[in-house]
Amino acid sequence: MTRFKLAVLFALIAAPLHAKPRAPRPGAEELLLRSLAGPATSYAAVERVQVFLPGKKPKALKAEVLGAPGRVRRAVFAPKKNAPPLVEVREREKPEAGLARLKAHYEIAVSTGGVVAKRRTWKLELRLKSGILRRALWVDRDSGLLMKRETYRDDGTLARRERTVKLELPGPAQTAFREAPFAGPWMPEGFSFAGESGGTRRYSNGLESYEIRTDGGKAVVSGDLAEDDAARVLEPAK
Amino acid sequence: MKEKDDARLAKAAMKSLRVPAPESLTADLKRLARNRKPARSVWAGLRDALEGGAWAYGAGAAFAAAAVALIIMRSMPEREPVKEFAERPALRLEAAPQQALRDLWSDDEGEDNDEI
Repeated sequence: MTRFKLAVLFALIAAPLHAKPRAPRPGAEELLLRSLAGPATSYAAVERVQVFLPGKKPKALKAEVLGAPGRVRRAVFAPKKNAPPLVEVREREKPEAGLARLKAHYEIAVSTGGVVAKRRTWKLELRLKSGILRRALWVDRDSGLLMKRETYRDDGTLARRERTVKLELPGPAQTAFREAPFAGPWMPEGFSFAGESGGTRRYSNGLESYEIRTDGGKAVVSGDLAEDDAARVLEPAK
Repeated sequence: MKEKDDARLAKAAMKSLRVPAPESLTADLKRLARNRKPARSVWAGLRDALEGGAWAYGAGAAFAAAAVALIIMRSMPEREPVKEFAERPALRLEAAPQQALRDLWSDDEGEDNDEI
């Protein structure tokens, strides 16, 4: 064995010895619970929401997010100057309730998620029982904050992406919101009541929409919603 | 002649209605007093009531329970009258202006990266 080969052999042996030990992969449910509970500290973030409509150019908006334990405030500013922002304040639901709903619809798996907004993440894949990938979530390894979420159609194409593009965690000390949380039926982020006709209520975010109607005494949802969101919009208001 | 007959008839009627006076009024009163039952004393009545049958105990217990319940109810603070159940009114939602919602979105390249 030549000296060169010996040196290469030592280098190959030494490299794993100096490498950082891999972080143990958390359980899917444990990680999902942490994500639903949110960080224990306040945070401030900028979030980009992208909607991919078939055959059309993608659309996006930016939201300023201010989080405190148990509560989140999102403010969306219209590109037009002087337009009032759309502000939403929400209480976080009990993590156990959210986990039960997700488990009722999806099989959940964890993998390494890469870096989002300079934070290392775990990736959660939520698949329908039929095997269709419906959602992918990127969760901050340290804080449990949901950093990115993608929603897919049945054919596998990307329908929606919400991504944290800038994060300050822990955030500003002053996170007292002036606005009270919205009291009423739950709606996915960015959606608003858009009108009612013939017993059918329509909700929209300007690009996507869904409807709730009563069919044979039972409420039915139709529209662009993932299964867990469709189940949640039918839950009684708190 | 007729007047004479009338007077005689009236006299006969009066005679038939007359009650014979008792031979001795004192003896008569004594006899009445003997026949009358002696009046029972109040204490004897109470004693009889206490020594009554099982029904008396039941009635007594019911009376005592009613009295205790009345005392408790009167000593409790008054509650607010219960409002009649009314179905929760449907939440009045105002439809958001759709144009304002659409104006929040802008064209995008669909990139997946951080803010620089």
